[in-house]
Amino acid sequence: MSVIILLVLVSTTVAALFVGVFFWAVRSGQYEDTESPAVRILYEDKPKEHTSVQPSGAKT
Amino acid sequence: MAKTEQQLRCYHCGDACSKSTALHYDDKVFCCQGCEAAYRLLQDNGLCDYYKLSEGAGIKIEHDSWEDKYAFLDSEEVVNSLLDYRDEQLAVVRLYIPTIHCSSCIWLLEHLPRLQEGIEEARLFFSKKVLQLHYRPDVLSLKEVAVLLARLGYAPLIRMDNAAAEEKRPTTDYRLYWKLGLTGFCAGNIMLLSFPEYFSLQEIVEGQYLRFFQYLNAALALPAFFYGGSDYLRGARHSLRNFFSGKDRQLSLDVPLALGMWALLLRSAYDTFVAGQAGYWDSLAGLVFFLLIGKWIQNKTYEHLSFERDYRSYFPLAVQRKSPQGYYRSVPIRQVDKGDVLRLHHEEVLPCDSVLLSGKAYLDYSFVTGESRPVEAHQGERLYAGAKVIGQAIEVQVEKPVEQSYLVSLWDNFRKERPAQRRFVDVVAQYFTFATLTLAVLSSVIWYWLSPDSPHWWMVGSAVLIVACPCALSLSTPFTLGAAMTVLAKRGLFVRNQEVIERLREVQHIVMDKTGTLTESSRSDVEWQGQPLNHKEKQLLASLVAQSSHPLSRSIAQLLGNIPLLEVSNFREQKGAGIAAEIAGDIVRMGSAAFVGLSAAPQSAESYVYVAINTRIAGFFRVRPVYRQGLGEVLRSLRTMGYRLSLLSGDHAHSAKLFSPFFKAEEMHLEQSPHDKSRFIESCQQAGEKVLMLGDGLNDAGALQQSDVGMAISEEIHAFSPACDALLRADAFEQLPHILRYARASRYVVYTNLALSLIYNLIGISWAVSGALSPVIAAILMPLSSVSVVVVATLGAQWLGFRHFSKINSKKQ
Repeated sequence: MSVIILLVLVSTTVAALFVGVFFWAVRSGQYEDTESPAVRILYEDKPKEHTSVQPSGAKT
Repeated sequence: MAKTEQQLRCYHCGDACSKSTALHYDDKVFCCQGCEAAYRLLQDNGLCDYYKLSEGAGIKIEHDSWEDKYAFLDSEEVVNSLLDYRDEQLAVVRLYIPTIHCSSCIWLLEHLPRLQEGIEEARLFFSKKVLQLHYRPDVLSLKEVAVLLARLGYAPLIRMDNAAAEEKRPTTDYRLYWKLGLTGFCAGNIMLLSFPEYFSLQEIVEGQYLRFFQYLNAALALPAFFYGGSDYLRGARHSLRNFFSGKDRQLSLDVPLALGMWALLLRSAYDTFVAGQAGYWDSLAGLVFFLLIGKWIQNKTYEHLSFERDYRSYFPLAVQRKSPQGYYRSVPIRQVDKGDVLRLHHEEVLPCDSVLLSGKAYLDYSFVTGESRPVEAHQGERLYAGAKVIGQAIEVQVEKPVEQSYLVSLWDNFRKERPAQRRFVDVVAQYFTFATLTLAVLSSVIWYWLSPDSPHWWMVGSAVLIVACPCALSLSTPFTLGAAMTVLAKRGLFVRNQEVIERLREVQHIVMDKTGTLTESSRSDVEWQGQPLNHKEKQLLASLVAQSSHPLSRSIAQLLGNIPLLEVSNFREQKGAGIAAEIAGDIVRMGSAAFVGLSAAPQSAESYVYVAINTRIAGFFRVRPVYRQGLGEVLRSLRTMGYRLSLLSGDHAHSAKLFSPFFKAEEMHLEQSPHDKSRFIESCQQAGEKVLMLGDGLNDAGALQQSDVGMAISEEIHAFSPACDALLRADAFEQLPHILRYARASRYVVYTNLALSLIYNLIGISWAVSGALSPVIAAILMPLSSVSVVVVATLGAQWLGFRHFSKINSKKQ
């Protein structure tokens, strides 16, 4: 058997595996929200800092 | 528009605020206590990045008694019905928060664990506006969570239909995505393996490879055909069965599609396995892939908007019930039974028909009748479900459980299913199918007659079926309407699905509700008539109206603004007449003409509140409903566009005067009960008219259901709206004529596409009939026609939108 046939079979199998992964991703709800993950990754987590609270300003 | 050089802007919500009422804290300006409190909360927890992430992140916070509003969350049963999961240590809840709007919201809400001990994890689903919270029920109650969110401006919307929907939440339809993914994979690989075919490399590539590629193509095409295309095959079978059993006299578009698919499959199988040729596997998989993309576009809706609200969304989840021991406990309204005593707070909606036990109550029946002016009720009077309590808390005794109330019966009466309308493409498909079949048979016969010995006749017949498959036709509508949906949403109209746009085109008669539709429900126009008031007088009046919960007093208080109040003594309120009190030595009276000692004024749609200070009549306040902006202009344009207009209102006949500048007498139908409204629409429909109903409240719910297109107008599209086909943002009301014109015009895009796809078909068929349709030509022609139809549809709809709406924008400036 020629090597091309082997390669085509292997590559198709690998691609089929990715289709399987896609199925799993859809089913586990990864496509339910496509907006927030994109924003979420940009936030850096600073350690919690307490700013001292000034007494409240006067009301006019 | 700025009145002063330096307009003060609230640091939290960005609203303009006046110098006199602004609050100052930490060198920043706030428009109200709610905004200031939200800022403090964030600042105390080091979460002020919130303001840096995006401009105008904060949401104006109505200062309100949130504890009372969420009092129903005290009930264990209600809480349990809302939770997704619960054990001793952990509870999981999903809350719908309509005010979520920007990336700052994501940041803040996902940092809630830092803000509040007991919240373990927060995750936001932005497109659905749903926040999923993991919290510790031993540390924190759900009510506390809700109140915290509300304080930050993210008041969760918790209603009965949410709880019900939670139980039977449909598993999201991921099958279409599966099909798309699988078919895309198959189509892509088949095309790759067809490359030798496309570029005529047969000479270079050895024969054994070609055979192998062809078999592999066949294997890959099968899942695309049987799984990816299963909906079309099933739809066609269904349509054919109905056609031959006489149930349906028309064929759906699925039939010619399935016909083309089968022709492709059989012909390719023959080519590959019998004749040893390439076959049309690539066209087959590509066809299914394109069809699925069209379906995906067609199914796109606005996930975060609900078009299915029923009466339950107006009711609270739980009410406070008095126990025999005399204390109040929140119970789910399902458990409320005849004879129970309930307590209702300001703004709460009465869930069942009952009798008033408290001395006096103001009720807003606008959900039920459309009449916005609150009604005064007295002890022993019967109250109907759907009334909103205004002012003081009241106690009532239940007469009928929730399901038997007048309001619910009203709802159930009109919950009819609309007969499915035939789509335009289905009508076209009808003729299309017969034309292709005839052509296929005819050309086969001719070729058989020409050369009976060769298999040419069936090659030609199948080629005709293949090439005539109306793929482009089926794509043109979803893509045009999908793009039109986006254009309309940008302008403030959110349609439930694509079909609504098609129905919108055919509307001939526009029926409008008055309250909340043509007038703004939240505001009324208060005007002082008389000598200008000095500061002292203003103080007197403000102090007096502050004592009363009557809606007119509230409107006047709003006009007078935020001024320091004086001490009030001897306050008295006379039913339906007015209020009086002694303030700082002066006797102040406000009320009807008779109350202050004038002769009675004629009844009219406007309300007059006369003011007497000591014995002097100082003048009067005129309170009028506010028309929606541009009302006259809108109605004029609609008339010139040829629509018939009608006004339906639950209001008293004397409000006709208010609308006489806009409507002719025979167009106005006043004192209409909700039943009358939907009956009116039914009678128009029986006369053969397509009716667009424009309404807002629950009182229009029946009419909205009955009409061909029910359009609900709403100040806050995420919050209150009855079930409808389309939601119109209140500020987009002015654009209504343009929206309708656009919907009408969008049909030309569909026509253009129809013509385009027919031309492609004619070209293809002429190749096929002459017997020259090779797989390569099919592989080029098919995607070419589909892609060009998609491009024309999308660009056409966008361009039309640009042309239609840019005109008004430029006119405005």
